[in-house]
Amino acid sequence: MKNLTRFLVGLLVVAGLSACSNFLDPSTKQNKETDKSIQDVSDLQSLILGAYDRMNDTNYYGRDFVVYGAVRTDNAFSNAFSGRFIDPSEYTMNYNSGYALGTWDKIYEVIANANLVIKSDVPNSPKVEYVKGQAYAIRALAHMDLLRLFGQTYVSGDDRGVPYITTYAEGNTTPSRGTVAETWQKIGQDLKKADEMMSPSLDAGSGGGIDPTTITTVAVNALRARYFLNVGEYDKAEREAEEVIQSGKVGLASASNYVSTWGSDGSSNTIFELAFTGSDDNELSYIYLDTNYGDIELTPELYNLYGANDVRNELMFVDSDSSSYRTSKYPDPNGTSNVQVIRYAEVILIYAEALARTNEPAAALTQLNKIPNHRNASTYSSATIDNILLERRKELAMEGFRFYDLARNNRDIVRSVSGHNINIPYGSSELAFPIPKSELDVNPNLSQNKGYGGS
Amino acid sequence: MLKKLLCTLLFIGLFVPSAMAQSGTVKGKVIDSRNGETIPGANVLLVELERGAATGPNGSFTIEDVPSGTYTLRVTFVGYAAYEQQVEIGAGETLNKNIKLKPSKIGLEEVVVTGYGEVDESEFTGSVSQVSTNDIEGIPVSSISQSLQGKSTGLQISSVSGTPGSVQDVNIRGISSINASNNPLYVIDGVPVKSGEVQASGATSSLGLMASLNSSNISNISVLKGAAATAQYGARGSNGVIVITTKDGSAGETNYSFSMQRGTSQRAVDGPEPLSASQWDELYREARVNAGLAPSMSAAQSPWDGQTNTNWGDVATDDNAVTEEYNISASGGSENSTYYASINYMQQEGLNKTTGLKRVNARLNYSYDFAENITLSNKLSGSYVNQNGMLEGAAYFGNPAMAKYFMLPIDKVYNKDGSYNIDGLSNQVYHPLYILENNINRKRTDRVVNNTTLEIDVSENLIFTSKLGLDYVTNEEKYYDNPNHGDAAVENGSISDYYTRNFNWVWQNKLDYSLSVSANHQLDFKLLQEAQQNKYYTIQAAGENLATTGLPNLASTGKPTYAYSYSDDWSTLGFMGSVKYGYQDKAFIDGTYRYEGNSRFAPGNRWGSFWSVGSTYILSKESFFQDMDWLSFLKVRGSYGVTGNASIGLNEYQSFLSYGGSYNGQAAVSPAQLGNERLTWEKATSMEGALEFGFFNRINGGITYFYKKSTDLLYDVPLSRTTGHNERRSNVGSLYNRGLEGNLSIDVIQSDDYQWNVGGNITLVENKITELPEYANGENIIITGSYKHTAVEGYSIGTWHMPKWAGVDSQTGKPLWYVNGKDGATTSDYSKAKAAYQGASAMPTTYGSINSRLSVKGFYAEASLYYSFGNKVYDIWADYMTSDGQYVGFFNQYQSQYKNRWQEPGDKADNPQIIWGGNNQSNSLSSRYLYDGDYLRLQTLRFGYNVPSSFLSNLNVGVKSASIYFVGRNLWTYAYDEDLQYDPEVNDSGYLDFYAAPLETYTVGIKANF
Repeated sequence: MKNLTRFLVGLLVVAGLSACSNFLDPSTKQNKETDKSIQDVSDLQSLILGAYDRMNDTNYYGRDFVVYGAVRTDNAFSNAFSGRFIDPSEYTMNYNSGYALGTWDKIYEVIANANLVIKSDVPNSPKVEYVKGQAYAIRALAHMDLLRLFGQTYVSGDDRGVPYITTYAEGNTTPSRGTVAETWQKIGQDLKKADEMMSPSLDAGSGGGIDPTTITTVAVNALRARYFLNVGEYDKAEREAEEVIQSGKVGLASASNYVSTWGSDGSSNTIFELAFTGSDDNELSYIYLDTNYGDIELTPELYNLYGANDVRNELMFVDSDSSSYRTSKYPDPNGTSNVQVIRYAEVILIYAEALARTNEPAAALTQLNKIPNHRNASTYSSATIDNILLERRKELAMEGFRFYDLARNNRDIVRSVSGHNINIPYGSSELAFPIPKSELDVNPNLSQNKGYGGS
Repeated sequence: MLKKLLCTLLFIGLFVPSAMAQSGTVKGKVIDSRNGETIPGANVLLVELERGAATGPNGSFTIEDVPSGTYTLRVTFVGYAAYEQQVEIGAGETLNKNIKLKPSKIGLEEVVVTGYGEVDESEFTGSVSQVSTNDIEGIPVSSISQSLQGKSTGLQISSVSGTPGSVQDVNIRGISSINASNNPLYVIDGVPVKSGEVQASGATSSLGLMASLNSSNISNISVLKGAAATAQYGARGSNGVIVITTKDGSAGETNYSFSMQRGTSQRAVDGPEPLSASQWDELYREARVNAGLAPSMSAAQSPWDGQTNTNWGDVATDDNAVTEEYNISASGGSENSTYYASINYMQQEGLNKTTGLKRVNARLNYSYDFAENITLSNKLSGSYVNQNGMLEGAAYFGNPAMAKYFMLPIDKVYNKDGSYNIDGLSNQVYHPLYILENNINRKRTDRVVNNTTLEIDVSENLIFTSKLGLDYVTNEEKYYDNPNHGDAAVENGSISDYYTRNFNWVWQNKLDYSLSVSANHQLDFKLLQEAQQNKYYTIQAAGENLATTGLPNLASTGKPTYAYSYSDDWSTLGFMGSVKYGYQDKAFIDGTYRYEGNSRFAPGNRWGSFWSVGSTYILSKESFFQDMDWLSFLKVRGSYGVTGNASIGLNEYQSFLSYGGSYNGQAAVSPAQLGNERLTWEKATSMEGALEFGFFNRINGGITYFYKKSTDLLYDVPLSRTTGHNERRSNVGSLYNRGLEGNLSIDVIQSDDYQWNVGGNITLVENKITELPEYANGENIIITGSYKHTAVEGYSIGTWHMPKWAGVDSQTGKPLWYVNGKDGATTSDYSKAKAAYQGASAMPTTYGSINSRLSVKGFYAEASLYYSFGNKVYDIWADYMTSDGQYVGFFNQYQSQYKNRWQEPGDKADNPQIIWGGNNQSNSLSSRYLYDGDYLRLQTLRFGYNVPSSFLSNLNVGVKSASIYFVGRNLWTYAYDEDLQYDPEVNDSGYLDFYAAPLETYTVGIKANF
């Protein structure tokens, strides 16, 4: 019996000792600890891929952000088929809007990836510089999208921008909003940084082209052109557009090829596009096509805009089941069509607009007519701002540009579709999304946008 | 001569032995006083002699060689009140006693199974409710937790879905945590097991692990509440503990038992009626006219063909859903071994065609005495559960419960050629019958639970026990979406296969030491070490583009789309010591201390201390109460202590990068979690006081007050989204639950042939959040939601918070809301209507049951009425079904919308004018869709007949006992709010959602022992 007791005591002691061992350390088989896991340039590249992956989200370029640019305008409306996009379409958003929250969240998540790269202490090399440059460009693009959506950018009598985040998990975690101008300025600084840090020799791509599924130096130039156009520095916009053109790495698709560039990934007329594969869902096709949700219809006005021979007509069609106007720019019903963020045609139109605004009408017209010339469409006789905006509307339709083109040109937004009429004068508070209530609840340094009441 | 001789011998035989040994015999039978069934395994003891016997399979016992004298005969059995009587045994006499044991809800001398041992209930200082096998056996439910509803004070159980096998929400004494789990700990045969569910998909019917248990195998369920009862489980005791004990065999001849039951189910609650086709047509036209889209009703053409009238709720309903169950068991044993073995088959069909559950369960409980002081026992149970479910719980286009309201009555079910009309439907919702018949939505759970126990009586008062418990669960999920119609039509069909494995092991080593200091002073010590580890693994794959229809495996997919695997683990290590002091069997004090580490927290914050003290005093044992004949029992008890809760996700203390993303075929990395190194245990400080009483040996009852304060709440503190994260888990804030529990059982008639018992229980719970963390500016960090506030200081968890509906303007037909969200001025502009507290939360504040049982000779009838009051529930899809025009053209509507709508000035209506496109926002979030959740339900109605054993023995076919019974479940439901047409039983969320309706089941069964 004595032996047994000894055995028992021994057993308990052994069991007790296991308290000191690693019995209670959990295994981590899917994740790695953040502070120990960013070691080299490939880790940084993976984080950049993570940023693209997050940009692919339904709340951002995977659907919502692109739809906002169309459904809030005279180009499209929500038919409420599955109950989606009614509020943005009818300008009835409130601070509880899931759209405002979802997109706000996702864009700041993209920024977190960028900041982890920018703040990392991986030893410097040209490759590291290049990847960090990409991070700066992503951070700039993300803030530009936030600013145009949530900033009081197009609202009269207010100049609040959006919080500009440059750190990850340190410092002030309840940031305040700078002014619109300050936000633009920081976007410009980040883009400049990207331009300085990235060497064209490291651009991904083959056969003299670029791989448009990542941010390249060409994409940075194009983003800078877009940025300068928005802040009214037109000569700089021209210079960036010229750099894109001179790079020779991208071009305009011909009329016969144009339609097929939609649905074929990585065509040479895109400068930056987000890649969607079988593991992603490009829900733009779900929402644009009538085979799935099908909530977004084109307005008859947009549908009827194209001339008879215009190849772009083929991308706009009448759905036979529902007699509604649809676009097939994102044709794969499984949601694997890539989403073009910057196309060469946009850069040409930026160039044309900048030239027009700097009193170079002839050069502007040359650039402007490049587009209809490549689409079997009728050309223009003069490069007025109206004509340029019209061509932008036709060329970039349903890609998320229309709203910003109207707003940055101080135009009212008028849609005449039975049951879906809107008339939003320039300067209206509805031109900005509400700051999500969940954000205001936790961040005392932020205040709600005009017109959305308290929270 | 011969006769004389015989008489002499007989004379000698009678007197000689007694003259020599002076001994007699006690024999008899122990039966259930309620139904006359024999009780095997009861313990019969002659107290003074410390000699006894266990009753055999037919309830009989014999104690021989009893020296003549007067003894206390004491009979005890789990779930019954102890029986005590003075008996006088003369020399050579055989005393024949038939003893009726009374089943007892609050037994006077009942044994409490705590999982770590057994304690006489009278000595127990904590709160426990015991549910006996009689309460749960034969109830036609697929999951044992359903049959526990209303059976215990402080235990709230709600079913969400009527799909057989689905998970129930179980709370003990309120909601004690905001973000961590509120599920109790489940212990089977002394070993904590995996609970909840093991499944990968959240969109489909849930399959709970409780569905793998066979209620016929269970001898007792103890619900442990409060500090003293749960302190032994300390670290995980905050949410209460449910201890399940399975049956054992007992020495004697083998007893066979067979039972079967069969029945049918239908909808317990129909839910709101959708519009008929002609009503829909009328609304359609009226909406068009009101919107100015048509000059008159006749001019407004609707797409109705004038004939079709489909109620899509009926299309997929199985009008004859069958429930059946069969059990066979055998138990018995010899001097040094006992066994109990059983096989169970159960099948329950759901109300939606093709849905249902099948279960096969087998069990072997075996115990063997190696030596006089060493016992090895093993309890092994294996089960297979197959659930055919459906998409439910949200407005999935393929959810048959949603089709009833979303699909239009003008659409035909069948084409002219008899095929399903899948191409001519008016909206995107899928044909429910086609989906159910052509898709597969299946879960298969295999589970093996094995407990091996070695018990060594080291000395007379020192017992060592080592126990190893293994709980192994695998779950296969298969989702096959046909290529022709439904979610995967675009992809030309898809198949997803998920395999999940969960392995949980527990190893306990325990020393029990008891010490009698003197006759008046008794001390019991317990020392325990317990290690537990859980390992989870899942592998998942999916493909699309099917080569053909009807082949359910991935091999026939043309295009693989998804491959994934995942694993995690957690472990705990605990040390527990307890001491109990007893004075003269009438006053007891105990103390428990547990020190436990958990892998969910960072090293340094991993270990927590938990403890309790409790005491009880049985006043009725005092001499000054002995004279009061009317007072049969009186006990006071109280306890105080600290328990813990760590039921949060794994690895939450660590900051993580996730490698789960992919971009363009390459692995993508993103920051996934902002960790918190300081994370530690959530703690609950509980106190309780209770009084238990018995009058006239007929009226038994008890009342308990409890107060449980939870601190260091494991709270998901929301972060500014600009950090790239939504929230971070932290220990902040506090809340309390307090309340009263009462139970009463009255034996109104108590005679040999007639018994009538009336009883009931009630639980009142108040929940209040007392402290929440603050922002830098001093404001509380509250958790708000669109419908309700999850956590606001000064309120209960989950209070409804929304604009208040003020009806319809009888002049204009426009909707009205109260401007301030409460009362006074109204507005028809939704944006001017403020959200405010709507006076209730999603959680009931009062619940319990009322029971009655009448037995006349062999016949018995019993009824159990469940009630739940004090909460409100919200119909989250009503905005589509009472859309006042917005969705009239697209989806069907509730009939209430048609019957009570505004049409012309002066109309007093509940629903505003129907306008095509409906832009008056009347269907926006407001109290219009908030209903009182109070309800009563006739939960169980049972009739039965126990065939008299005299009749059976005359038959001489070996049947020892037999009974036949009818059970009805959920036969009647009364919702206090007459506007609430859905089933009022909802889970803690308070949301009425598209789930399969609850079952109303009728079964008949027989049971026989032979």
